[in-house]
Amino acid sequence: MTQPPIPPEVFLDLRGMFPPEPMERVLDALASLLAGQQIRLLIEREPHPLFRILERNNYRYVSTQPEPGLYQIVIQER
Amino acid sequence: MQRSLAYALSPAPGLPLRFLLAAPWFGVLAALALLAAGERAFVSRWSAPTLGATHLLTLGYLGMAMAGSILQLIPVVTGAVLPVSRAAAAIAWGGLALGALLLASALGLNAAFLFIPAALVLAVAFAILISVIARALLRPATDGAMPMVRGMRLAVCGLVVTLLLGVILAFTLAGVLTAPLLLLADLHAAWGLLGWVAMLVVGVAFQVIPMFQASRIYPPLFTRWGPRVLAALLVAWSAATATGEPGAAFAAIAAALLGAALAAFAVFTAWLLTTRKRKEPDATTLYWRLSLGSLAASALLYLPLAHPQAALIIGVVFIVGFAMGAVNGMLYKIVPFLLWYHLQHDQRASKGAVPTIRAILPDALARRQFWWHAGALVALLGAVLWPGWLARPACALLAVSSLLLALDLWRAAQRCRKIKQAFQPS
Repeated sequence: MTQPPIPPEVFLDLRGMFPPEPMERVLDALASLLAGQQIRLLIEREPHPLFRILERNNYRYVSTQPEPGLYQIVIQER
Repeated sequence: MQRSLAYALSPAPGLPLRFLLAAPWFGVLAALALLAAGERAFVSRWSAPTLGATHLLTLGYLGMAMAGSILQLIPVVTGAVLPVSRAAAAIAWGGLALGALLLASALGLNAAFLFIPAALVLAVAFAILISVIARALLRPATDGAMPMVRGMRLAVCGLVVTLLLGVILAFTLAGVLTAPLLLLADLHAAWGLLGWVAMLVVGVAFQVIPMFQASRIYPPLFTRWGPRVLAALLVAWSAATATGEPGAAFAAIAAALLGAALAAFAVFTAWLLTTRKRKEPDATTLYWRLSLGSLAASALLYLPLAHPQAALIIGVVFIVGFAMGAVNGMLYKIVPFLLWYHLQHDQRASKGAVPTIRAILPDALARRQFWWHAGALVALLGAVLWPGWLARPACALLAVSSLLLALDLWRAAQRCRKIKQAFQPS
């Protein structure tokens, strides 16, 4: 029996970018996401408009704050 | 390729835009009113055309722009959905526009019979706006949103005080009430300019300086206590001022501390701008520099300026330099962003059909308008000192800069409307 492969990850470092570039990058990454893949992104603020888009499009996400002023969001298909 | 994502837009696309696109036309009207009055507008802050034009700027221009910005920023920053129907939003927009025109006419044309209609129309418009905004701001927000939310909560309280004082003043000027006019006018101006406008700019800066300028964030101590200190000093100043002569020394100390606190905010924010990760400044960066420099200057001028026209000079620096500077810069940032966002999120948009933000409203246009506005500010200050020479040229410059802003934003909206029409299936 073989172990299932660890899902590969798309990493996006969105720090220091001006709106709307972070949103554009995530939307492009979602459009080309393969089955089983997840997106991990780093950004300096909580992207609420993105959260609403994810919720309405059957993605789940986990938002954590590794340090003050920095957010890590992990996005997967439901 | 059709986009497959569904977008939950909150608020409805046109709502903040309607306020933001209308705002600069009130700047044009104010400049034209000042232009018509010429030298008379620079005699004193109490002269009729000055009061009329000031309210076109504060209620019409700043009121519209700040309402639109708040309606846009709250959902984006806090995730809260704004509970407002299209009908209520239309009444608030129409009421704010009509009320600003009525009040400016009442003040500028000495038409006392317009004070009460103006007060009533504005009361309805602001009651709708404040109830919508307050309900969204009272919800618990995440840590990241709290700096802006705290500042906005206090700013809305400042707006409520300003409006109550304004309604009492309007009824007094209409001859219905008897109240100490000069004291109430001073309190109304202080709460409007400091408790509402400056507090809101401070709260919004906590969010948008790091977001749009890619600078370091404000320290938590600063964002937690800054707005509260400003509010406490304003309350102390008001209480001391209301007592008259016995409280004069205390009022002077509170005013000096208020000036120092605002100057400290301006200097610290200017330093934060030096930590930008992208070094080339855009038009909004230039506008923040002008706005912060003007805020520090008006705070510092408040103390030593014994010139008979001191109030007018400080008023010009604060309203045209600081407040309009911050708002003009924000309009050039928020309006193209909103237009882009709504095009981007149109289900019918094919990939590549949505232009970039820079193509919707090129930065070169914003920079051109910035220099006209900066020129108008310098000329208006000159006009306070030499009204005979500079009153009309200065007002003409302000009219040009406001018209450029209005047309830049309107053309960007038209451009996007045409692109959106092309999405329609033929």
